[in-house]
Amino acid sequence: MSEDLAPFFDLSLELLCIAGIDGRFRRINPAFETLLGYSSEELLSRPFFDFMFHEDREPAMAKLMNLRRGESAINFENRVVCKDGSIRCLAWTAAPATAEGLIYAAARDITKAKAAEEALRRSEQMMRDFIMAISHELRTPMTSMRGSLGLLASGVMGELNDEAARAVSVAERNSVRLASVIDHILELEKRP
Amino acid sequence: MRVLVVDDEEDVRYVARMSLDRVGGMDVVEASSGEEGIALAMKDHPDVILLDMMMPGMDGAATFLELQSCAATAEIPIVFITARSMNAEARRMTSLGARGVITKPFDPLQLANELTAILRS
Repeated sequence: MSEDLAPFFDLSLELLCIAGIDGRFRRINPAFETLLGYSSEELLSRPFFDFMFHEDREPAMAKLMNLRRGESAINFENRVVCKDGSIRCLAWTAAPATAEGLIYAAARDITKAKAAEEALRRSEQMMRDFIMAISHELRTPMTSMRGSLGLLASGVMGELNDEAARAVSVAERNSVRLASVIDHILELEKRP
Repeated sequence: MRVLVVDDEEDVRYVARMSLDRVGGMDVVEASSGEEGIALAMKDHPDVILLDMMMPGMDGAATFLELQSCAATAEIPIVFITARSMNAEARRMTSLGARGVITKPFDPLQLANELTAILRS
């Protein structure tokens, strides 16, 4: 690393490292200690798979195989287990230096972004469930009201006197209007 | 035509019955739950089943799948009635073999025509 760029390795808030294709860190910047809680001695003494969330090890192993073959990895995500037991989600970019048997990698902590994504997904699902429930609760009585009034107004239930026919017609017309308003409101709720 | 109406709402069953009977001239039997609908379908062999999607306990989808899996009722065409927001689920049922969907609130003067049109399509 050229001398004028070397300070950036230590200053960076992102995780920067040089690793071997054997799955061990060769050099890590201080951001590793800050984020993960392990000392640099701990991180350098064990394979980096040891710090990974167990479900993510197999895909990470597959990525390492690709890196060994000379392919770069861009925006590869995995989870790591911090010293305090908490889980952080990292997005990695890595490039191999196959002649030297090394991998140069940088990672960004995307834990908060992932949590926000999940919260948004849950919120959207709750909204969909709410709309489905409210739609049923509004449209079911509308079906009965509109249906009964429509049958009365049509005369199939028997003839009505003029005043009754007028009253039923008013009620039926407004039940159709109300059904339309309900449709519009529920369509608006569905829009992002 | 003999129609089995399966809906947990008594008032909706009433309106459907009046509409199909008085306007459409159809024979109507009613069931207030999925389980009752299956029992009546096996006993009466209606020409078509009008099935509500959202019912407590055994919902429309579960009732449909049960009717499809039973040799005695598998051939009876089934049309769902549902509020519009349930259309995605109703379309899924259509892809599994339901004949069609009628949305609530339906026009009581057109229910019989809509049902007939679905069965003919």
